[in-house]
Amino acid sequence: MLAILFFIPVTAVTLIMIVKSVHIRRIIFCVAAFLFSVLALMLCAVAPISATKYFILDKTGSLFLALLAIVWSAVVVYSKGFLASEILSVRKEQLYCSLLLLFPVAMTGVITSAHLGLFWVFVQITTLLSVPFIYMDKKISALEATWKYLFICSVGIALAFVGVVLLSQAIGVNGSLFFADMGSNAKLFSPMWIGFSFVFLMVGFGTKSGLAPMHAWLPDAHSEAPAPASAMLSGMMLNTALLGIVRLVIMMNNADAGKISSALLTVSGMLSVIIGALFMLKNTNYKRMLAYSSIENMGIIAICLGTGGAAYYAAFLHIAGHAVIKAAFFLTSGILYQQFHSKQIDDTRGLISRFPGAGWLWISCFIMLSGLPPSPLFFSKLILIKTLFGQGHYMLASALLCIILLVIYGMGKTVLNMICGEAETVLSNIPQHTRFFWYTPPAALLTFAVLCWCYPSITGFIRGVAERMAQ
Amino acid sequence: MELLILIIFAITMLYVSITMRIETYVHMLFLQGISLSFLVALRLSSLSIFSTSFLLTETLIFKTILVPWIMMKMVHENAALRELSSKLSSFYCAVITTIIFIFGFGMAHWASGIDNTIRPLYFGVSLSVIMSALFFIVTRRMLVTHVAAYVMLENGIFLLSLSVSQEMPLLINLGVLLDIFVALFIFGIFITHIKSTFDEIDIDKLTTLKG
Repeated sequence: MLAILFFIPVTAVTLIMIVKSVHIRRIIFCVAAFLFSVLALMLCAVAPISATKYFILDKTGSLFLALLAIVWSAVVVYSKGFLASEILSVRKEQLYCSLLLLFPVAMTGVITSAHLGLFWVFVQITTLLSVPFIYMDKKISALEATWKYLFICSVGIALAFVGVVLLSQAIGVNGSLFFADMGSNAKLFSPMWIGFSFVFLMVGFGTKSGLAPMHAWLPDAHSEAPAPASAMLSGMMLNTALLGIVRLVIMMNNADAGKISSALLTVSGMLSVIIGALFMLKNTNYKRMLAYSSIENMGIIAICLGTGGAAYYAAFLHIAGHAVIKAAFFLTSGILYQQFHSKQIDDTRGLISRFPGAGWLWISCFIMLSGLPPSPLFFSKLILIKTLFGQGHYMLASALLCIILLVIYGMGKTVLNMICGEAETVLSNIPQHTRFFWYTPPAALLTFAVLCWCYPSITGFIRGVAERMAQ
Repeated sequence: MELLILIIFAITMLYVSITMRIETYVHMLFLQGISLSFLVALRLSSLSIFSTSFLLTETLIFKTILVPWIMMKMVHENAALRELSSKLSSFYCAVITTIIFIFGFGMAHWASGIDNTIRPLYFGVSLSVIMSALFFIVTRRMLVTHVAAYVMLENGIFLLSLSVSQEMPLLINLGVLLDIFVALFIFGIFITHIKSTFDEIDIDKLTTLKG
């Protein structure tokens, strides 16, 4: 069953490349997208499932796969409107649809990999597959962003491989790099090598998930990519790299080396939150502001993973909430760019008066992302702060609270400036017949975000994943 | 024999730290590929025949022939013959690279004292090569040099995988191969784009996105 998740998109891509009719290609794309999303969600409900010893969908992976299916479905529907507005050649549309189908295949490979080495391979494949997305506009700024992304992530992933090699030394000749084996036999590992390997693995996977100080590529790549690609990168790709860190934290805890991972994650997380907050305050580009917000939120998740205990539930709730809310925010930024033809905050004014639909979506995204109720991020941050105070980390908790307030102030000021005032640039509205495809996906994602904390099945599912980790 | 090959491998990095000719970097990559092939061949008795054959093929065909050929093509297509002058002269580069090697060997000596299953010379040289490659990426300006340093980093990691007692699975080696080959291919495409856009492949041209 798991193999079908790979088979459907790959077959669809092959057919898209062969078939000459544009109409039939679009039908193939839609059918494949629908089948993949439905199948992924069905498999999440019946997890754990395995296909050979190298691919297993466990409960932790099923959360990430479900998020992938939801975010990706929204991006596919949004792409209908996006492609209608972009004057792409037939060849470029073919390439865009093919990449959009292959990208979730690579991410499914990351999520379902049961072997650390295979996980590493698929993480690198996601890097290589996302490169054409970032360079879609073929502008000079996109070229610079693509180079930085490609090179920094490649070097980071190479250093992660150093960690894999050192971990194989820690495991010894009788062990294996399967996550299940590493989790259960961790107590037998060499303490010295396990610490060294975690440092390198954290640098490598931390680079891909945008944790500071390895974050330099993120603001450029996420701001230069087109809106659907930014949504996928920020909503899902960062999370899939974070899954590696989650699995390694389980191993470190079982090996009684949790203090090392906790310290590294907390320091890196705090650095990410500070850098994200500071750069958000003075930014003049709204997409870069969202990118720095991604860095800040990845930092909060890292702090949750470093804190442990009840904060594990906060981590997974934050992962789920951030994935859908950030994807919605980036998709809405695409609507703004379509209307104002600029990513500059100063050029994007009078949203509520000129484009009320986009304006209200923009405000809703801000409310949800800044962690105001009914956002799931409110609850995740609340649980984290409560856990930090409970563990006696008063300084850390106080500092985090101050930075969160700073972020709300900075982003709020920007959003309010954008929704008020008079638009001075040339504007164009989205055609009536495509508005459904532009507006529905972000609205649906925000609705799902609210369900993350109030729908019992979803909260119970996330809680189950967190409890499994705490054990 | 093993000792000699490892020393040659280490010397290639010291030579790269001194020279400014980019063709020489590619020649050093070729030399590193040959060194790795010999090191794999010398381990014939300790690895399975299938693993050894695969690793030999990987090192001989990819690291010794294909990768230097692609790099040389990149150098000539982009007319990137010399590294641009940087704030750090060749002398200081050589001094810092030497310090990196001393640190690497120190770490290997310390680690082998605690864990006697690692090969100290392999470990020391590989660690030093990895750190030197990162140093070159940070201090050099030409993008082709960055790509060459990235390949040297991968060679250092390959040597590290030979230094540990646990054999790396075939699947992982296949994945590493894919990583190097595709990354190199994509790097080449983008360097050509950057050259056609800026007329130079200097990292200082890629500094417009800030804040």
